[in-house]
Amino acid sequence: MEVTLTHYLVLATLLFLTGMTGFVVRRNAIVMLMCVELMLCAVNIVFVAFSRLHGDGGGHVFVLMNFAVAAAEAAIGLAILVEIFRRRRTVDVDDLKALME
Amino acid sequence: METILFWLCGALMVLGGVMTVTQRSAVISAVWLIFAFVCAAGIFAILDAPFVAIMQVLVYVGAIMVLFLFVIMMLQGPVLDNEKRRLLKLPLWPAVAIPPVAVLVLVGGWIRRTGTRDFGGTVPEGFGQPAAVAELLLGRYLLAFELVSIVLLVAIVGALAIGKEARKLPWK
Amino acid sequence: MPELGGAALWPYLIVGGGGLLVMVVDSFVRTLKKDHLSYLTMFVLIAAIAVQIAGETREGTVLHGMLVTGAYARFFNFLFAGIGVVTTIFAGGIFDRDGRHRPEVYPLLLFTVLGMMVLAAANDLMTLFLGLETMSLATYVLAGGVRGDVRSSEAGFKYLVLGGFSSAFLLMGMALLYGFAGDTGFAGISAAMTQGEPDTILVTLGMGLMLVGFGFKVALVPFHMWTPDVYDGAPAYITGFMATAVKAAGFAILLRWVVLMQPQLAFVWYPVLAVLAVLTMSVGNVVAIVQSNIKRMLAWSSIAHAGYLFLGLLALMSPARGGSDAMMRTREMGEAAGSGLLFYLIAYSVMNLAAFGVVNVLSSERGKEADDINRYAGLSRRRPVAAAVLAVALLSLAGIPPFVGFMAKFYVFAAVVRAGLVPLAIIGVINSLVSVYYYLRVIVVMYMNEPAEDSYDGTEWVSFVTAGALALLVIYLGVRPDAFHHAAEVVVRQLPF
Repeated sequence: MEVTLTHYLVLATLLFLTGMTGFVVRRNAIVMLMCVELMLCAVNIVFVAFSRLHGDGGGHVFVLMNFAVAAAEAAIGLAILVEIFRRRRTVDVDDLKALME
Repeated sequence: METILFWLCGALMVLGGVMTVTQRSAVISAVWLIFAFVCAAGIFAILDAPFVAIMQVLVYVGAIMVLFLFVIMMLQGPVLDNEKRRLLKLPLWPAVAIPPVAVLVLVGGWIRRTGTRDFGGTVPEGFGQPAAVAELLLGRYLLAFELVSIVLLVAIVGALAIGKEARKLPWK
Repeated sequence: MPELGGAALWPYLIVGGGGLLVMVVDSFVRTLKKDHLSYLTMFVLIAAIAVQIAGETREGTVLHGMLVTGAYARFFNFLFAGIGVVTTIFAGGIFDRDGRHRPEVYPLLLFTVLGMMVLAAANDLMTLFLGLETMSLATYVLAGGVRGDVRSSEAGFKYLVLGGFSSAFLLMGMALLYGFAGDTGFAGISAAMTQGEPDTILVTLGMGLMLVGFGFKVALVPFHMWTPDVYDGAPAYITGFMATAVKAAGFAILLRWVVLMQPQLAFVWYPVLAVLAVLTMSVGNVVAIVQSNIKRMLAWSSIAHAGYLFLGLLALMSPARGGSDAMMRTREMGEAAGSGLLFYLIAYSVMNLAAFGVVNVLSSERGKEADDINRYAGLSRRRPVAAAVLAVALLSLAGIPPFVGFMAKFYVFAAVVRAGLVPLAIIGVINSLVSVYYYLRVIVVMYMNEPAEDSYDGTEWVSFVTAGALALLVIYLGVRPDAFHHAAEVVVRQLPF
């Protein structure tokens, strides 16, 4: 069977949904960040597939920007997480209750 | 050839994603995620995006996931098996499961109605090669290129500011 | 639109370069009292405003159509730089009092402002995304970077994780729009849209997903869960900044985006958006009633205000539903709605900054925030000026004349009625009546209750003077709104409908 654009989009959808479900289900903050990375990866596949469809390089540049932003987000997120772990000894989001009334 | 590679990389990538989500230990999740990202690089390679594929391995696997693993190792101990309370209470499972299933049904219906869409045509000469991407990056998308340097700078400043201990200022 | 030279980029270069300069100065000038940083930051922002006044005023695109300059971008640049100046003053006051300096705040503040300026001027999906992320990442650190404060760290982390989750949706939406148009530029997208290709499912879905991302940034109701926690956990000077500048930036891009996507957006997502606007107003106001923490109360009230602002957007896009006959009247009605929206953003920023300015400087002990409403008892006797400023700000937020909040609501609701959305306007008015209750409660506590042993107090006079000036502005704009409203009309007229 010929591999078409639709195949790639369905693959990206599957990954996006997996990441989304994981984000909702998992309580470990590090794993939640990883699930966001998985969703971003799905987005990147969509960008590259459409880039191929239109023969336009803009999608590739967009993916590179996504890489940089994802790295920046991971760096800040993990820094805050380490700071929380120092005080709390946990990275379970159910234990982050300082802000509940 | 392309077909085989697609099904191989695609199936393994979905496997990697599912394992990332379902594994209890954060380390094993991270390793599965790395696996999924390497497969994604394969997908990019099939899609005529060699430069993006290389960057996927270098940046995602080589930098971001290593950072994740490093932090997991650093926080060793209670982190890894902290999910003893099971992931979610049972009655919540349908609420979590319905949206993805609904989306999949909709996507399936849409494909059944409109059929698959082919890529069609050929891509320009040198498409996706480093030279082509660089030309865009330093030409039309120059502003984005400069802005992303600010984003990274913010990340550096932010991570330093958060990680630094208040009392250990060098001149005190 | 003509392609302009690099001169149009000066404000952006000054703010970005200013951020770098502040960082360098911080590392070379080693004093413990970091006053010079706040002065430098203010100087940079004021220089950006000055260049903006003196410089390029033409409409046009810059750098291969990545940014669009002109009246709209200028309007928001003034707003963001102004909010930045006020926030710098408030932050400096707190650092003086507590002795816990956060030198990173100043460069990050400048980078946030840069991100917002880029966002308001974005003319390409990529600049939109990068402006948004510059702003968001810096805000995560501003909110979550108070060392040794677990509440702040948790707020920052919640904001970051949910922000990353929502930007994944935003990106997916952008990817689908890119797939539809084959171009990342707004010009290319709108051209592809007017050609009316049959592939509308990509557009519809893409716009819906992008709405999720924008909705998160401006705290629309199903995407608002982070707001109370983050506003509560962040220090008050940052909360004031997030409640005003970040929200204004979100609406800046939403307004441009709605104008760009008007026909398709109006047909498909219009009912959903109307329901969201009603939900946002109602949930925000109802939950705000039961809050005993003033920062949480203001957080819920800011959600409610996002709902009022969203009504303006609905009025802007409503005519497109009525077919060609209604499209004839679009321009005029769209201008009324858009200018009402912009005026509301100014008014909302001024009054909210005044309120957070007072909350920021009051304290009972070092490093603790003044957030318990009951401990504002007797503030009118201890600090009459602060109490008066807070009272003016809250009455204005409630929409009571003669303050600016009333005029802002008047313009927005009038545009909504003109667009034929009378039920929505009625719901909006009922909501602002409900909101009077919880704003007045704080005023009653301040003026009627006896001061107690642990009531809040504060002595930071520079912040009081600034907040007082903002309160005077609230009154002045409430009495003489014409000049600013006219400016907003001129700005909206420049937008390509």
